[in-house]
Amino acid sequence: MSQIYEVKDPQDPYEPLKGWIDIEVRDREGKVVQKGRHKMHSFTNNFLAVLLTMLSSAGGATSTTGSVTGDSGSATTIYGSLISGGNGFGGTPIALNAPAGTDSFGILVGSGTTAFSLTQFSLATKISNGTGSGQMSYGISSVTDLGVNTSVSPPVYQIQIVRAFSNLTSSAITINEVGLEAKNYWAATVNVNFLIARDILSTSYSVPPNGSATVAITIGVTVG
Amino acid sequence: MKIKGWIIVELDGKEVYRGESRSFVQNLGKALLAFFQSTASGSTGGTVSITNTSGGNASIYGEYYGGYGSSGFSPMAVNAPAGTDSYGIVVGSGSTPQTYSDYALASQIKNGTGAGQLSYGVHTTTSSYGSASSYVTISRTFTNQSGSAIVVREVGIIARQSTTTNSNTTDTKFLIARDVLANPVTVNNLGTLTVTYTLTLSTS
Repeated sequence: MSQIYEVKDPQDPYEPLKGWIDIEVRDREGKVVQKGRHKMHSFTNNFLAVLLTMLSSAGGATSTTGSVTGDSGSATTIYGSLISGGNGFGGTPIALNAPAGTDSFGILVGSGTTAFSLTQFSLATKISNGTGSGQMSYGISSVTDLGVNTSVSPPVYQIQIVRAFSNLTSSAITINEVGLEAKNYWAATVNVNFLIARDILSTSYSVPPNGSATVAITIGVTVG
Repeated sequence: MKIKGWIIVELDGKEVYRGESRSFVQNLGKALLAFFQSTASGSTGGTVSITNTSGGNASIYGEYYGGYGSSGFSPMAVNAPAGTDSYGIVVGSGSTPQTYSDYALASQIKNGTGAGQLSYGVHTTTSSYGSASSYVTISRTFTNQSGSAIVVREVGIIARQSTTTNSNTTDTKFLIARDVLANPVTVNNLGTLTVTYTLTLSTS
């Protein structure tokens, strides 16, 4: 799924941040059996909160904290910047590039259909990583720079996050929701996972046994 | 769900301009790319090349850890103190149309009390989070103590990324937003100008 997707919304071209979700389902032979595209409608309050926490830093030798709702539902302290007297301090504010087998951040999938709210902090019913009943094997995430698409007006800077999910169980698994969970990680200080986007798909995707689903989220920043 | 950006300009406390922000530049997208591609593995990495405010290429980090002594990381700071015009919300007199590759204001008005200068104030932030609508704002006030009127035609945001290792801090400053105002704003001598950027989320 390496196609460069055009991210634009003719109804609101100046929306500063927008995105699309593309899903492709393959059977055990690798044949595409279902695919679709959905406009993202989904950024949560946590996304605003982590941006504000970063921007609220003065930089230099200062530490800045903020608060998000962690994926357990509790208000949790995050850092927008960190400095300390010692070796190895630092971190990352909003990581999405999760390794294979990790279902605590990156792109997540679920079977729930609960309506969206800005205050949501987790998928309604996350499909956990694994090979047991109702589970899917989470692949490695990739985050790709698609650069500026100048063929649309205004231009859009595009970032694509892709993750594959394999169904290694003996039954079909249905995907109804897709989320983006970020990690705010500051060495020896903070390790917080928090949902920044959740979308309920207008179509259910059924992943057959030994089949797979690849989810690509293309986020566009309007830059003109 | 909608995300919208707004710029509000107040002159001596009275709103004189409110427009949809159309202002982000590609440096912001690149900074988000750097952060998103981080693996949170505890290792420095995820560098991305951006254009700094001098027009040169610079690398910024998505994830960074310093060495001995004081160490740390500030990924994208905007909260500059009073008197600092090298980052934070900035204003200018230029009217060159905005492009995605802008890396500086066309003609930034410097901090100071001399001719053509404005005194840069502190920043303030506000936020409100609900289930159907939410917003965050960041504001800065500028005071004209130059003795003459000053015309503001453009506003922007410069971010600062700081990496600290062995008690030494290195900064990279890069423009993330620039807007040319549809109508210029004249700040009279001893007048104040307040610029507010607002980002809103709503479910409708």
